[in-house]
Amino acid sequence: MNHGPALFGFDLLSPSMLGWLAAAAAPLLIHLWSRRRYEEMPWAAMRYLLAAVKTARRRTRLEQWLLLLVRTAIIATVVLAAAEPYLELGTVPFVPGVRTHRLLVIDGSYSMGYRPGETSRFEAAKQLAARIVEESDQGDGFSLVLMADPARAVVDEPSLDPADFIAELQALRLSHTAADLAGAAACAERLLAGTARRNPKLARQEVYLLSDLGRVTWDPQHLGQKTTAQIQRRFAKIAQLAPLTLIDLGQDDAGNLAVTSAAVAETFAVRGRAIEIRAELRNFSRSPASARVQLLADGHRAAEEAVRLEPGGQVAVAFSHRFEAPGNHVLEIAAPGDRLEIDNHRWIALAVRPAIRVLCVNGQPAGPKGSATDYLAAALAPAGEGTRGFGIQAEVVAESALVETDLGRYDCVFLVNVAQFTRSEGLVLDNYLKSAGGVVFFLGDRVLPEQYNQTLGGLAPGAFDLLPARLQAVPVEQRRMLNPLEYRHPIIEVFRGQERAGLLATAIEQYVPLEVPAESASQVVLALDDGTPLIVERPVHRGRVILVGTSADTAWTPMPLLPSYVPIIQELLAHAVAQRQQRRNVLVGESIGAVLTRFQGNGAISIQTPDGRSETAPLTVAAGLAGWNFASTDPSGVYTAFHGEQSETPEVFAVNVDPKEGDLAKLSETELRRGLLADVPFQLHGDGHRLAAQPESVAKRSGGLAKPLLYLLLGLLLLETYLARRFGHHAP
Amino acid sequence: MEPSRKYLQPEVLARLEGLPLRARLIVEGYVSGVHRSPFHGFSIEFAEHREYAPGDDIRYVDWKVFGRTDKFYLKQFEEETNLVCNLLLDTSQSMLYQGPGAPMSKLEYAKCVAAALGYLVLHQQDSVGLATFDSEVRALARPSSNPSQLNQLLHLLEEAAAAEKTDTGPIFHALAERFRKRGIVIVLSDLFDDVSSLLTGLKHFRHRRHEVVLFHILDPAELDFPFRRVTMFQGLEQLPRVLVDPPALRKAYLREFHDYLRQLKQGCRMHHIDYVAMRTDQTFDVALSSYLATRRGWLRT
Repeated sequence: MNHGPALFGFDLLSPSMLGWLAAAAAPLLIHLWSRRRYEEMPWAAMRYLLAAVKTARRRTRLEQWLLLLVRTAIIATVVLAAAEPYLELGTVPFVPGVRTHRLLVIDGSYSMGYRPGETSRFEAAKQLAARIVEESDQGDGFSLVLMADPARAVVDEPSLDPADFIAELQALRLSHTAADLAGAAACAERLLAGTARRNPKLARQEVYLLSDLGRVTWDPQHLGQKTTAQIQRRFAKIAQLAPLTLIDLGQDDAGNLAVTSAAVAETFAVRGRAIEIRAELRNFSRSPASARVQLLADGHRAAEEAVRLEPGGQVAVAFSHRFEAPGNHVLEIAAPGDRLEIDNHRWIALAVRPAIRVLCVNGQPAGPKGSATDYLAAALAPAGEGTRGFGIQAEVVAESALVETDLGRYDCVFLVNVAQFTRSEGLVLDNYLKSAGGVVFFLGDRVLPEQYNQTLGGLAPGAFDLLPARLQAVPVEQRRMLNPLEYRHPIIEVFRGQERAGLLATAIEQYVPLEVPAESASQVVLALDDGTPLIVERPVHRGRVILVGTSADTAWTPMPLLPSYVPIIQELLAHAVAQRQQRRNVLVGESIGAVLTRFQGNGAISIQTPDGRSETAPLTVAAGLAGWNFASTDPSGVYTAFHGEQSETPEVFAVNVDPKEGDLAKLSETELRRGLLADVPFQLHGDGHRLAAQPESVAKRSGGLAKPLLYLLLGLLLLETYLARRFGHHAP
Repeated sequence: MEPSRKYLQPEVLARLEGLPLRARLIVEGYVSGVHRSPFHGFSIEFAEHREYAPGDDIRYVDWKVFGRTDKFYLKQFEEETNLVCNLLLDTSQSMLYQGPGAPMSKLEYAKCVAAALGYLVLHQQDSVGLATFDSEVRALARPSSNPSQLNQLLHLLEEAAAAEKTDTGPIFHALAERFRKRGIVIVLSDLFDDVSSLLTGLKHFRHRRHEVVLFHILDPAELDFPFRRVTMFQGLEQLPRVLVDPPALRKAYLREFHDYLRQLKQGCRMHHIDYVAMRTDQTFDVALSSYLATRRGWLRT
């Protein structure tokens, strides 16, 4: 079987018949044998015979060999015809008289959107697939798998109607995901096995995989050991069920410039406050590239910067922008102009608020040192425009007001020295976290650690598991300094290199020791000098909980009096509310959604997709909270969710591609044969684009090779008769 | 066909034993087919009258007798002749060849022709002699017109056995020296010899003013080469063996053979030698006709 990049291939249905090729030696053997068995005869006119032998010896020998060759070819042709050969013209092997199930697997990853010429790789793949179908015989069946992430069977049961199948094929859209090769292999194996079981009339099966052979998808180094082994097993099984043909649509010299990341530096945006937008670009080419990077705010160009990238290089750009109107906004970083358009854009969905509203729940309204939230409220919203706390509104309520307050109006809730929580308070907090709220606990002398653990730490039956750490029963009264843990956590990363901010000079006089459960998602933000965690955080539901083991006022620590206090509080707030922003910015394939805290009744959310479709997401109500979830976030772009009852302004979501797929480096045939498909027999058509561009050659129909062989045989027989007559090997 | 004419067919004659019988049957068969008897010449001396039969030459009608009797009589003359005919029979080994389609070997055929000619010549009151040869002269009967000469000729012919190879050139030279009286020399041979040497020998006869008739006796197989199967041909006359696929070689052989025949005929024409090709499956009358034509020519000279 031909494994080269040839466009034409050849195979046999009954290769065992080739054993009869040995019979082709018969003319030679008969010739030799006849020379051993001869008659003897006296001859008078010997001198003329000898003269004839002398003059005709060379010519006679040549004629004899030529005749032998023709006679051998006659037998070989008959044997070859018996082996039922068929020719692969371009893409389709023509097997006469056998109904075939052709499974087409098309790479749907967004690197297939690359346009080497007029058409993209994906369009070329679709054209090729359509031609495979058109050139197949009547009665053949077709299935289709789109190798996106996840891979899915577009046509599951073999379709016997080529027109229907081609219509399905034409409607296929390029996914903006990577390719799930393992999933596609599993899908293909399942379809082949199912067809073999349920459709025995489709006696033969063939698999065509049309891909750009990108390293990201096909290189075992990218896939990891486990996935590689899994894929290899699947392909080995596929090859047992059907011959595998790979059609390579990739180009060795394909280059690409991609916007690999775009994010707002601040975790929240408020009206009138400048935000910093950071983006990164990467050049996946072997030659330098330059581009004009644009920042578009709500579709209008806001800034532009020219960049130049070295081969394989990366460059970061930063823009500043200020939104004057509150509401949902979209920022876009665009660097258009190369042959793969999909990853030239990244979007950021941003909710710009009139202000960030923080609710401070005060568990100690009046103590000897004043209210526990006094310092906190001041640190959250320091006066003056341009300060870090600009646009933050802190509201202090008493402990008892927690259940009654509509937390949905607030971005973050600080719970300060609250003695204990009832179950209904726990439910309020739990629901708040489900709607991506941020919750920060400060402790103090009123706190009942055991009760915290029971109600919010998940220890009691049916209790809520919200706390990132367990509280030890007894507060410790001992002066301790802080251990910043190498400033690893984003909350205190701002103190790196800022010794004058006084973080390390801050003493903790009293604290509740925190214990982080093993294998939890909690992260220690800041510890004491003996290693005891002081600040621990954990994402809970769609929100985030931060637990501070000391007080927010000066009862247990002098920190509120020190310069480090305001930055710490600001960072705690930023981190706690960051989750809200992140939920608006996801990768293709991840779901978007929201919890509607004020929603009453049933209904559905209307979603406008970037490609102009209008979809609906059903509202679900669970534990008293209504919410919606939309998982079909493909393609990339801005998704807009409308719900009349919720608000006048629609919610926006930014869905971006995974930049990994932007690396267009492809695997060579050798690497493929030595790597992922080492033990799998397959045929590779090296130039899928050329194949797709061929006008009519592929469409030339053939009923197998029986007829051509018959003509050949006839020709050889006529030639033999003519030669035998011409050379005198016939009856006079 | 008259019953006697069937004896002109070699395959019929081959079934009969004895040269005397064969010779007589050939000649009688031949005579029955021609209108004018070959046994009567037209010399000056009157012999007798014979009743006219249709086909007779009216120049010889005796008009005086017609005037007297109202009947047509032909004048017949006693021929006075001094014609000498020498028969040279090749008895080399190659003459023994008898192909698959031939009723008799070339030698047998040649003997029949020689015997018939002897019979005819003697009945025409001419002299006939015989020499058999291969690489040398094996037997020789001097020409005579004595009726007993026929018996001697037939005896010699029956005795003649094939041996050795042909060497015609020197033999013809030697015989030309011996045949002093001018006459007709008839060569019966397959002539498988060097053409130039052969022609030189024959030229010697012509030099001595003999009329030479060459009866080239060939087997049909030698002319057609009809073999199909791979064959080991064993050369007669000390030539080597050769293994041949006949169909493959037929064309080349025929080309060589016809080349040889062309040279031979050309040489004969050049030296005014009558060349008569004879196949051993051919009737014998060709030989007798050729002889008689040559004889008439000789008598006119």
